[in-house]
Amino acid sequence: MDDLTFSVAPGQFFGFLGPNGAGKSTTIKMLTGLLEPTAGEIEILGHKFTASSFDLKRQVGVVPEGMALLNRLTGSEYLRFVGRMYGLARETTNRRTDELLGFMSLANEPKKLIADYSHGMQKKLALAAAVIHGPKVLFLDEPFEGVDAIAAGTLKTMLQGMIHRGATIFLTSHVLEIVERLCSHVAIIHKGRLVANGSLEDLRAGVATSLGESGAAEEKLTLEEIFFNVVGAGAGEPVQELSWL
Amino acid sequence: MAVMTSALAREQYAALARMRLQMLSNSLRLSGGKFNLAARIFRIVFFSTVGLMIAVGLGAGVFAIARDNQLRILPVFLWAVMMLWQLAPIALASFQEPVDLSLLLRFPVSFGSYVLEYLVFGLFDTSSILGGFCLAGIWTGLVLARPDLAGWAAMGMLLFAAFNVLLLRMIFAWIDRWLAQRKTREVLGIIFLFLLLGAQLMNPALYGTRERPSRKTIATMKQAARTAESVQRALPPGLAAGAVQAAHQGSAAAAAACLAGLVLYGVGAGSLLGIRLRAEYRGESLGEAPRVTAKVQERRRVLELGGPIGAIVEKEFRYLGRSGVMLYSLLAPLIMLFVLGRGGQTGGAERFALPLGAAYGFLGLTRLVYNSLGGEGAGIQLYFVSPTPFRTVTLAKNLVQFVLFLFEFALVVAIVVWRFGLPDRQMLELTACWLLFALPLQLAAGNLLSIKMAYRMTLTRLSREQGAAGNGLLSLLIQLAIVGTGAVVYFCLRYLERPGLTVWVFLALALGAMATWLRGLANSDRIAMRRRDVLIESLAKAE
Repeated sequence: MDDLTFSVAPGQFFGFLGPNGAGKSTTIKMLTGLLEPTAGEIEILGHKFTASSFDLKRQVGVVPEGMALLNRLTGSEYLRFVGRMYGLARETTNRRTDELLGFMSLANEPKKLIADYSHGMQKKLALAAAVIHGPKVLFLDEPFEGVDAIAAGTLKTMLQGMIHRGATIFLTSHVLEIVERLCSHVAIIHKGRLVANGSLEDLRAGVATSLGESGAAEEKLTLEEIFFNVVGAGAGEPVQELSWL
Repeated sequence: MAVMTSALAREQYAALARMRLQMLSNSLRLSGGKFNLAARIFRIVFFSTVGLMIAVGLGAGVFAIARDNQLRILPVFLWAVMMLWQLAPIALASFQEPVDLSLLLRFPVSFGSYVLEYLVFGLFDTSSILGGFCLAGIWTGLVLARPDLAGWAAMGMLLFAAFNVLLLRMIFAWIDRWLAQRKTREVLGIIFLFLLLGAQLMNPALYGTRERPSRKTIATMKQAARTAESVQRALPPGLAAGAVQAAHQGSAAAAAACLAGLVLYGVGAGSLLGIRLRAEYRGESLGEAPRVTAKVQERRRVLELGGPIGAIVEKEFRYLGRSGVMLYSLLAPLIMLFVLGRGGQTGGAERFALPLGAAYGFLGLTRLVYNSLGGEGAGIQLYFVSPTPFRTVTLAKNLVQFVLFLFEFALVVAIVVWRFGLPDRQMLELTACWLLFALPLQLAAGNLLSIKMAYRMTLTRLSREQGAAGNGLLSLLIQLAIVGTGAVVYFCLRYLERPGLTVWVFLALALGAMATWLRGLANSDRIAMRRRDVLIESLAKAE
């Protein structure tokens, strides 16, 4: 990462975008204590965050890259395990586990090991685990990757519900349509540097200005067009052809 | 066969060899990779040396019997080699490092090439090194005494070696399959139990009692020995020896028939292995998605422990109960102790059965203790994002390891008492005091290695781990050092005629070991935090 500075206001649904290798997952890892920043500081909920900030971690939920699942447990066992790791009382953990499994449509096969779950089921379970302790801040690394439309709908409903209740969500995704629909604010990084940051309206206005467009044309700008413009790769750019294909 | 030698297949072999070399060279960029390579080299050199020593002994023995025209004894040597070849992997279960070729299946690799690669890649495992040297020793002994037998002996030994390689691979491939499923795991457990009881029943026959056996018993045993002798002639060691004996008697046809029999056994073992490999080749996965074990019976409240420690303890026991491989690793040393531990009075050595049994029993816990995070996979990240300090995770794992050791030790005591009688009080005290020193030190070392040299363990396969060599070697050396320290203290004080001090020295060492464990536990947060990216990389990225 290269001098990355940004802030996310409480209650925001914040989309963090960038091309492959831009540093999205690295940023989330640093923000959640999975990786030590070599320089700089992280503040979450107004407090300095380090890997040893255990009180802060109680208020943070994470779906990291790879989902952090324990494959030899059942979904129910895993959620109960996570609940207890976050210090929830056993009764609370059990109740929330049952509710989450029902909400995520994972209750039908209670005896199935996570190893046998489909990718979409694993994503749903990872999200359930990230919210079981009722976090105020949620970090999600590609939560919609490999998820079908039905599962994506469930995830979106849940995330929007959390935002309505005042939680803050920090999300990375390659599915720009979903980010556009869910997020109120977006930051884009490229090669480790922040190249755009603001509300969708701000970003549209900025790109429209640079393109010399205004009014209806500006409103029609999609996040995909903004993204291509900001990272300097146009959708219509000629792609070098492969001679053998 | 043509497919296995086609231009595509040859390109694939070359690509595989290049890929392995590149992986090796890339791994040397990290200190862990260098250590792993050094550990592999050490393992090969160490077992080659051991194999060479055994080979010299066997060669000398075979030279003597061949020179004295006593070739009828040759099968005994070959049976010994076969036992060594097949049992070494069980005894060394914690230190094996074979290869996963399932990644090849996405490429247009023919079944023949897949089998060939499967066989070639594991050719330099411990048992093959030991067995190979032993057979080379036997061949050398034979040829030095009877140069005219060189050709027949070479063919016999080569075919016998090929049979052993195929048999071992076949057994492990099927055990992998059976351990992956609950029902077959239970059947396998019952078979093991019957084998153990059978071995136990053989014990009195083999070692006898203090009283002189009656004439009737001797006659029965002689009859049994004759029957066994005639049966063994039709078995692979007997056939390999038979080929040499027949050639020695000038009967080329009989020698060829024996070799043909050996080939048939090889084909049989190869066919059974082929059935397993064919299933794998067709995409069967025993990895993290077993079919039957998936339908586990969910049990709430296995233990009434609260908080993160209780959660981790429960999780560890659930993982253990669902991993036939880990259960097997846990019990393998006990099986060996049970089967091979000789009962009765054996000139004083039985006095040390309890401490030796305890030390050997700990081998079963090696991977659980020295690579305690290896089974977590991507789940390791949870420990770093949750508000639970890493030392709590370590403590919970140590609690589980302690309980498992107590269980293992109780079984060792039971076996020792059954086979050797009650140990004397002094040895009981000494063993207990030594354990007070050994156990915390093992846990402390295990905690450190689990963080610093973690490798991903596949809990459903006996042997599919990369990067285990360094951890395996270090854990073995640490265990040897702990056992060695106990032995040095005991024998030095006995030599100095102060045996009474041994207990006190062990207790003093135990205090030091306990302090080391506590210090390590307190530091585990710091060490884990510093290494968390490497740890996550090793365990999560491999999935």
